[in-house]
Amino acid sequence: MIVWVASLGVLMFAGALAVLFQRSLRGAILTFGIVSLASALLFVLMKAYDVAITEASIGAVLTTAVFFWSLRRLEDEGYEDKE
Amino acid sequence: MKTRNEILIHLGALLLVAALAVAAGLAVTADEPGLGLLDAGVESRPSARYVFKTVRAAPPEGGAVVEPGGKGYENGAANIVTAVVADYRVLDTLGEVLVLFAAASGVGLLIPIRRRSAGERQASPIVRTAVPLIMFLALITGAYIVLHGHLSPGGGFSGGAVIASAFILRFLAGRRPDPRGKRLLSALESAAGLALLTVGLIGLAVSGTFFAGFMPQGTLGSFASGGILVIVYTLIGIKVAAELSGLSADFVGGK
Repeated sequence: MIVWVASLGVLMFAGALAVLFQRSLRGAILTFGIVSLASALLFVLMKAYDVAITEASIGAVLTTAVFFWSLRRLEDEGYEDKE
Repeated sequence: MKTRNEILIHLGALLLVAALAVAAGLAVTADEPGLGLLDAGVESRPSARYVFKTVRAAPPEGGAVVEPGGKGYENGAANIVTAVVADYRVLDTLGEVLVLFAAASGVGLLIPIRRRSAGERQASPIVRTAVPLIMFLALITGAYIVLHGHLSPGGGFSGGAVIASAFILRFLAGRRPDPRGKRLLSALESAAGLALLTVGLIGLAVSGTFFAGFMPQGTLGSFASGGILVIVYTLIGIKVAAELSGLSADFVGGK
């Protein structure tokens, strides 16, 4: 189990760094969703199922969707996302 | 090219992460009893009472935990997390619900009404066909999580968020929120909030404590157990689902 926890931790750390240093906002939002999903899996491994359900639905779905809608509003105002 | 401010912000974030890592290391290796995460003195922590007594402790007449079929446990809920969140610490949960309400109304207040832009992209036919099916599954799963919060992992917050994620999927597939549905959502949310406070006031009237349990505990492991827990968490589930769906409808924008 420690191997799974460690690899998920490494994935989350790398994902968080990638969010910081990515040029494209769209890609950063998606990477952020992946970090949330990995943390939900981590909660499952640690037997915190209650937290895992909340993290999967709020962190991975709601937050990502809200960021995307905000990005669309920015694009309505003339913002150009870097590729 | 990055500006100097961006580099400073990234540096600050990295420093914060490093400080958190050091603090976590100190917490894990602390020597004082009851402070370190890995030491054996768990019994000395305040949380130990909840961990060891409420659900997993022996019933008043003695003996091991019987599930299902056990009677006379302190709280009657098989899921200890729900027992703490929606019964012992329900006042904190009420505050949490108020925080969520303030956030949702802040979004509704501050966000400008979005004009429909000319080049609105349509979702692909695959997405538009699959979304109703997935939405159906998500709604059923969410309702199950809300209603069985006292028996299995989950509860009002997580189940309500799952129900809201069904509506979010629908919005992501290109459906626009209609004003009648939004009015219905806010009415539902207000009704659930008022009913939640009423449950607390009934407890106050019956036994002199806000949110005191006024219903029988029932049998451990059966659906009708946990006293007011089911009612409280169902109301919270309705409120959270309506709030988060309304928030995403605000973000998507009107017609």
